[in-house]
Amino acid sequence: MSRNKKVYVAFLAVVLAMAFLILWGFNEQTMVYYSTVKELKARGADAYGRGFRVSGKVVPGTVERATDRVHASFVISEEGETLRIEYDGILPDTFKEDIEVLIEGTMQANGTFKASNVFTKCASKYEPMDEGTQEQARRTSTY
Amino acid sequence: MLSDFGHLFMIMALSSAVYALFASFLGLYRKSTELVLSAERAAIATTAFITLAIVALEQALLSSDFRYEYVASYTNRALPAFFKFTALWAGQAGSLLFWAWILVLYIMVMLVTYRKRLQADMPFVLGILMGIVIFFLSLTTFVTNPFELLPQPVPDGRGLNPLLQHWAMVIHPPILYLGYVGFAIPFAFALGALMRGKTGNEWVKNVRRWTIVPWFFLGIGILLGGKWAYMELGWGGYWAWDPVENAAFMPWLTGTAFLHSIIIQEKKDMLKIWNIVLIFLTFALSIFGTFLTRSGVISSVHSFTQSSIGPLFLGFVVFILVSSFGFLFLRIDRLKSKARLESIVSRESAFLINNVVFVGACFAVFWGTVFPVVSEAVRGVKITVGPPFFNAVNVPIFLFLLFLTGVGPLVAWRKSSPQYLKRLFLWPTVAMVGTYIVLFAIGVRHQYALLSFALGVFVTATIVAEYHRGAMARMKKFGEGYLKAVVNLTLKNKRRYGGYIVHFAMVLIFFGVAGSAFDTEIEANLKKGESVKIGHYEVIYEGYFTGQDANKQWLRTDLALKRDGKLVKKIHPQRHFYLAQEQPTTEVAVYSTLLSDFYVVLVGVDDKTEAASFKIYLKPLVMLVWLGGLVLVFGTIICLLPDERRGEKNERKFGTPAKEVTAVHE
Repeated sequence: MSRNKKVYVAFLAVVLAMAFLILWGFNEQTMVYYSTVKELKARGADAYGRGFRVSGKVVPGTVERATDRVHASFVISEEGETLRIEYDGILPDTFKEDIEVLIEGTMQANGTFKASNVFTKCASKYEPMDEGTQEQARRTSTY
Repeated sequence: MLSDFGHLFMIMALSSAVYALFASFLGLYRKSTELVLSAERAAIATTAFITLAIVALEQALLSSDFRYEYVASYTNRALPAFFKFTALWAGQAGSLLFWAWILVLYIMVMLVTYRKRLQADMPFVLGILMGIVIFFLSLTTFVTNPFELLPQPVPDGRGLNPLLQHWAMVIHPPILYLGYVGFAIPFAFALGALMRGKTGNEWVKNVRRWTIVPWFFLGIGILLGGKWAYMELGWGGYWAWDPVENAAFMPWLTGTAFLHSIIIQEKKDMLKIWNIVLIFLTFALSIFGTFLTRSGVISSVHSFTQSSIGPLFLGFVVFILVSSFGFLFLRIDRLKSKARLESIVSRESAFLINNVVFVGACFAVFWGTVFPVVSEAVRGVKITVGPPFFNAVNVPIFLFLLFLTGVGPLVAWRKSSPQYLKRLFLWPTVAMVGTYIVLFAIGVRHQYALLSFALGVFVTATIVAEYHRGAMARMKKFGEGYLKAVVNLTLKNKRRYGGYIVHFAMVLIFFGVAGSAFDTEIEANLKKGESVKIGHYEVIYEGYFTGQDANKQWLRTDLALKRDGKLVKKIHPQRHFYLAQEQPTTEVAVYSTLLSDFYVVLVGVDDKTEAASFKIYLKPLVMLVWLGGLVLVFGTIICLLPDERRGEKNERKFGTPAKEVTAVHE
C-alpha cells in the first residue's frame, strides 16, 4: 500500500508541476491583449510596455520601406482612428496597401506602435468569400 | 465530360455510405450476414463513387475548366500542370472531398485485412467509419461543393497562392490528412469494442499498426509543414506555435501517449479506460484541428481560408465526444483493471508518467491555443499568448519527456533492483554529465540547450548500450558477427528496436531545436562588391538580374559565400512576383551543412543605387531536425515490417535473445 502511495505522490507531483508551469506561463510578458486602435489610444501611458494586438487596414500611400536597413513604417486605420506602425522586420509577402493586417507589438511614448509581428489577412484573394464570411472576417479582425 | 457528373458521383457516394451505415447496424441487430455483406459492398460502392468524383475534379482542374468556381479559384492557365493536379487539395471543398477519399481508401485496406479475421467486429467498425464518411460527403455535397458552377465561365482563373507553390507544401497536406484521417480507424475499433461489449485487449492488439501509420504520417506532415515555413515564409524559423501548427501537434501528442500506453495494456492488462479515452481524444482533436484551420475562430498566420463550415465541424467534434464517451460510460464496469502498480521505479510507472506528461503537454498547447476565445467568453477581454508562453511551458515538459525516453524503455516491469539500474544507467549518466561539463567548459551557458544536449546524449547512450548488449548476446549464442547480430537483433524484435530508432530520431530533432538557442542574425545593406561577415562565413554581393516567365517575374541576386576565405558556393536569394495574383514572394537561399544553416533573405533592391538589403541568419543544427525526420521514417518502417509467421517464436516472445544478459527485464 505504501508503495502505491509513493506512486500516487509522484504522479501528483508531475501533474502539479505541469499545472504550475501553465499558470506561470500566463504573465504580463507572454500575454498579448486584443485591442482596437481607439481603445489603445485611450489607454495613454498605461499602454506602454505591454503586449497588444491591433488590427486595421493599411492606409494607401503611407507605406515607407527603408532601403538602407530592414525597416518599414505604415499607418493603419480602424473605425476612423489611425495608428502609425514601425516595424524592424520583413513585411510578409502578402502585405500590401488597403488590406487588413494584424499587428502585435507595444505602444511607444511617441505615439507610434512598435510591431514585433505583422500578419496579413490574405484570405479574400484566394478564397471567394460570400457576404457571410466577409462579415465574419470583418468581425474577427475587429475584436 | 466526366466532371459534369461530379456532383452526381458525390450524391451516389453519399447514398451508398448511408446505406452501408444502416445495413451494418441493422445487420447486427437482425443477425443477418446478408445485410452485413451488403454493407461491405455498399462501402466499396462509396469508394468507387468518391474515386470517380476525384477523377472528375482532376479532369476539370487539369483541363482548366473555368466553368467551375473551384477550378477558377485555385488554378489559372499559366500554372504548371503539376500544381493544377495538386490544386485538388489547395482549397477547402477539394480538401474535404480528398479527405473523404483517403478515409474510404483506409477503410478498403482495413476490410481486406480484417473482414475474415475479425468478422464479428467489422460491422461495428464499418458502421462507425461510414458515419464519418457521411459527415464529410454531406459537407462536399451540400455545403461546400467542389463542383459548384460559376454564374458564367471565366476566361482565366485566379491561380494558386504562390506561397503554396512549393514541393513541401504540395505533399504536406496529403500527408497530414493521412495522419488526421487515419486516427479514425483506431477510434472506430475502440468505439466498436465498447458497442460490442468486448472490452478485452483484443482491439488494442488490432489497432497498433493502424495507429502507428497515422501517427507517423502526422509527424512527417508536421515536419514538412515546418520545412515549408522555413523555405517559403522567409522568417528564418520552422515552428511558431501558430494555432494551425498546434492543431496538428495536439493529436500527435495524444497519439504518442496512446502508442505507449497500449503497450502497458497488452503486457500488463492495465489502463483500459485510459487507452479508450486517449484514442477518443486523439480522433476528436484531429477533427478539432480541421475546425481550427478552417473556421478562422482563432486568427492565424496560415489560415488561408475562413469559412462557414466551422460550426459544423465543432458540432461534429461535440457529437464524437458525447457519443463516444457515452458508450464508455455505459461500459465502464467492464473496464476495471485488477493490476496495480508495484513500484515507482518500474516500466509501468515510467510509461504512466510519460502518458501524463504527454497529455499535460497537449493540454498546455490546447489551453494556449483556445485561450483568446476562453478569455473573451469569461472575462470579456480577448487575450492571446504567443510563442513565449508555449516555450516557457513546453520546453521543461519536453526535456522531462526526453529524460523519460532514456529511462522508460529500459527499466524493468514491476520493479527494478538498484544493481540492475546501476548497470543500465551508469555509463549513460557518465556520458550525460560529461556532455554537460564539456559544453559548459567551451562556453555554452544556455541552460535549456545544455540540458537538451546532455539528456539527448544520455538517451543515445542508453540506446547504443541496448543494441550493444543485445548484439553481444547474439554473438555468444549464435556465433554471428557484430554487424549481423545488430541487424538480426533489430529484425527479430522490430517493435522494440524500431522504437529505439524512433527515439533516436526524436533525440536528433531535440538537438536541432536546441541549436536554435544559438541562432544569430544580421541585417546587411550591400552595394555591388561589398561583403559582410557572420560567424565563419563571409558573403559578397555580386549583383542582380531580373527575368520573367508566364507565371511570374523574378529578381535574383548573386552572392558568393566564403568560409574561412575559401569560396564554398554561389547562392541566389530572390524575390518573385506572381502575375496572376499580383503577389510577391520571398525565395530564401540556404546553404546547409550538418553543423549550421546559412540562410539569406533578400529584402529588396534599391532601383537607383542598386544596393541590396539582406537579412542573414546563421542557424546551427537545423539540419538535424530534417535528418531526425528521415530517421523517423526508417524507424517507423522497421516497426511496421510484418512479423515472421513461424519459427524462432520463443526467442521473439519476450523480446530479446539478450534475455540472459538483461534477465531482470521481463
